[in-house]
Amino acid sequence: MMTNSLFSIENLSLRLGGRQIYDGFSGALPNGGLTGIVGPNGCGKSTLLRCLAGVQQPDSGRIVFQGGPLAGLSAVERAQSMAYLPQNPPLVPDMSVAGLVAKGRTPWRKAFRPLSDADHDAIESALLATGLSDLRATRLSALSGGQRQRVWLALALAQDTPVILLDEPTAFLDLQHQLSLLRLLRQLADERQRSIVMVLHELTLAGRFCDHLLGLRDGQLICAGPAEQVITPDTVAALYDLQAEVARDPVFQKPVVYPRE
Amino acid sequence: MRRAVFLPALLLVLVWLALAGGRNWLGPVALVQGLLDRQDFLIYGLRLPRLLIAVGAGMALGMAGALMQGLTRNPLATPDIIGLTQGAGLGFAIALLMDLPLLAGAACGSALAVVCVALLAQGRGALAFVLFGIGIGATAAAATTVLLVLAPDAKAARAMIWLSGSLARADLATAGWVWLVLLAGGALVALRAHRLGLLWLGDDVMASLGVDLSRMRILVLGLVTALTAASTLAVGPIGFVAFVAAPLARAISGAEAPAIWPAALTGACLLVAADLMARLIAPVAVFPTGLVMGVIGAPYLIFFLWRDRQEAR
Amino acid sequence: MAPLRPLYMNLLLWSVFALALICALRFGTAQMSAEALLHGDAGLLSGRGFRALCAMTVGAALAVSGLMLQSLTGNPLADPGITGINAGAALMAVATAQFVPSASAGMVMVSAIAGAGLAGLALWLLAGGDAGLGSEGIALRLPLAGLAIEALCLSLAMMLILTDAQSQARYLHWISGAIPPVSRGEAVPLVTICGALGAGIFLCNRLALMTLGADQSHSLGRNPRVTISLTLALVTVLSGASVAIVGPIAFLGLLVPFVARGLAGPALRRAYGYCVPLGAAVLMASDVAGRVIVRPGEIDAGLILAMFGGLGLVMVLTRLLPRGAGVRS
Repeated sequence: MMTNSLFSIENLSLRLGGRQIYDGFSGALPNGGLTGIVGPNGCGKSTLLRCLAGVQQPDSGRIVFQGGPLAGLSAVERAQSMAYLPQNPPLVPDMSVAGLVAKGRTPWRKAFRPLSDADHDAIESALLATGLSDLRATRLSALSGGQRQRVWLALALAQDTPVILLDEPTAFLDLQHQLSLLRLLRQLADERQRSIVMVLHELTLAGRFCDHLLGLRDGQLICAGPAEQVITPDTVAALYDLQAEVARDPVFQKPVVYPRE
Repeated sequence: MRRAVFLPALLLVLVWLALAGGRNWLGPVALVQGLLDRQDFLIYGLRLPRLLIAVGAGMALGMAGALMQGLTRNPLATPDIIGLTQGAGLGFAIALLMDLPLLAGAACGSALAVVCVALLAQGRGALAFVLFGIGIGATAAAATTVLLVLAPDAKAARAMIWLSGSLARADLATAGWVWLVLLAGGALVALRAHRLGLLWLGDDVMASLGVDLSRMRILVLGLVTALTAASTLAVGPIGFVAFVAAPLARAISGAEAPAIWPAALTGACLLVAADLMARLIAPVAVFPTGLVMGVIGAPYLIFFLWRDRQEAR
Repeated sequence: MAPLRPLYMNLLLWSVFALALICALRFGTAQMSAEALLHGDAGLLSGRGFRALCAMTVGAALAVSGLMLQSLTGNPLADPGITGINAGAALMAVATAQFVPSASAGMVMVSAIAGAGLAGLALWLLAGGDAGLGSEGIALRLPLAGLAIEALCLSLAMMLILTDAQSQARYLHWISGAIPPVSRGEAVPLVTICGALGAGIFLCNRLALMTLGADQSHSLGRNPRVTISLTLALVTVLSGASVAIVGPIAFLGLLVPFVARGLAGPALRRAYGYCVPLGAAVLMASDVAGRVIVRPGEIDAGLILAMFGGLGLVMVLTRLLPRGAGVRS
């Protein structure tokens, strides 16, 4: 058990919807930087993230967060330590962009008090980081799917937590926005010392932006380690049943996956 | 901001009309004089208690509707549609016949209804809640009618008036109970306002923002049960106010969901207006307020379904 | 449950019907021994007989009406009561009786049928599909649209009733679903119902064909629009005539077809045949129960049905919506 790990998962077991998703699963996620969780669909990546976020309770086993048990934190303490963006954020009744982002300040707000200066600063900062400052008064219904995804990200950023957990944040975005979002997350990890954990389905993007990767399949840990070492033809085959070549891309020297089939 | 003033202003106008209007119309001067004179029977004996009950029950129903819609994230799941008002009615009828405290009976009735619906609907999908609620509500309503038909005459007469949703026998004591529950509930809502504002964002986001989900559910369901019971105690099982209040409030004032306070104001406006109409028609025909509310509320539900259909196309 | 052969099932159901009929004649508000009943006041027996006749006819009518409505909309929760069709019929019946005092029973029935038709139209507009069947969104919209239409029509009907001080008591009784104890011109609606029930059987094949899909139905020579219109006509005639006799009754057209279809399987005509004795028996039983439980008072059959019908709806839903449907994967 690494003492400087962000999350340490010990013997996690969970049964959902009639299926045993995890059975005695153990693993660790390092502190700092971007950590990606990859693997084929339906293997439990989202479920693991939900357990880490404290949103889903495991049947047995425990999760250690920054040295202490996750279950020992109150809901508010947890919300002030980590932000979680689920995979398909719900369609909310119409409100303004700033209105939704402001919800991210809830864990910090006291009863009966209006938004404080610190709250306003956090909201502004989040809007700026996601490029939504000009759209603050726009109604959500007037936004595109990609823009709405960025609003949800801004909400998570406004929560101002050292740890951010994201479930497929690039799902609805076109390539340009995928890249800008990942670059933003990279920047947050580097300049603002946040720890970011994301579930990604695109292996090449994961390889390019993440410091650390966890490969999961059917509730088993297939591989874990620095991205450059983890993405190999063997691990690709183990994860996706795919025969592939792995080479370095000419621009960033990051691993790129070339399927041979 | 301008839009936000509209609802309180509307309520004040309606309150004025309710005090001034009726078989004897009071001009502004006469009304003020009447208010200042504590012995004035028309104001203090008749109209004010009725108005207090209408406002209190209307606010309670509006709040209950907004809270329920927020908790279930379903605009169709309101206490009147999923059987809570009917359950409160049944509880009230049983308490009446057995000489038990009436508010407690109503509260038990609505609590039982919500528990039944929740247990039955668990794990069966989103529609189930509403559908089971309709069934439980119909059963409770029929059982209430049967009980009152069997009741001894003395109680039956009073109960029949109450059952049809009439404020004719309004008294200050009942108004007091309604306002007590309303103020307590309102204080809780104010205390938890920030968390309640997250209701429509979904369970995951709420949990992520530090809300204890099971405590939130208990809080909201407890509030809804108490508010429904209090208003049903006062005005009988009146439908549609809880359903209409929050969406109408959002349409009028542009407030953000769940819009609990605007819904309370809208509920009060609706019930005061319905009661005023019932009183004005009274010389021609005696319509209980609940009936008037049905004629106002049912077309709104129809409009809602119609518009929902157009959007789905 | 192994399905019984249709012959035996019919025998069983008609025996149940006969039993209910005997109870309806034997028991009532007045407590009497069987001998006293047979040899005594012929008026009482014939009175009960008339009541039983109304109850069985209307019961069969509403059950069949519900069956056809469910088949047409593809929604197992369709019922002329909770979809507001009966309420619409009631509104028109009351309105006619109030504004046209000289109206004959036949006229009242016709306007009730018209009311049922209008309510059905409103229902279709709010929640219906087009020529196809069983469109997705119908599942929740139908009961809610029905709730709204029912509430509106019943409220308006109540308003009309309350403005008429003289006949108020009678109408209030009728609007909770009361079987009439004496004949007041019910002959016309009764005959209409029987005729409609008989004609309706021939509609079963066409309707069953339509569940294959509108296109196939077309290619097999049956125009789906005609089928829809005929079915709606049948439903409105049966509902309207029933309401003209006993007032609006809910849940009968929901529960009996549910049981009948469970017994008959996919065969619509068979279910039709089962609905007749079953619906008749249920309404007769409700009427008797209402008269016996609270002697010497009376609870209207409609109220009895509403009480148990609500519970029945809950049980139907328990079957229709299995657990595990809402679990996230």
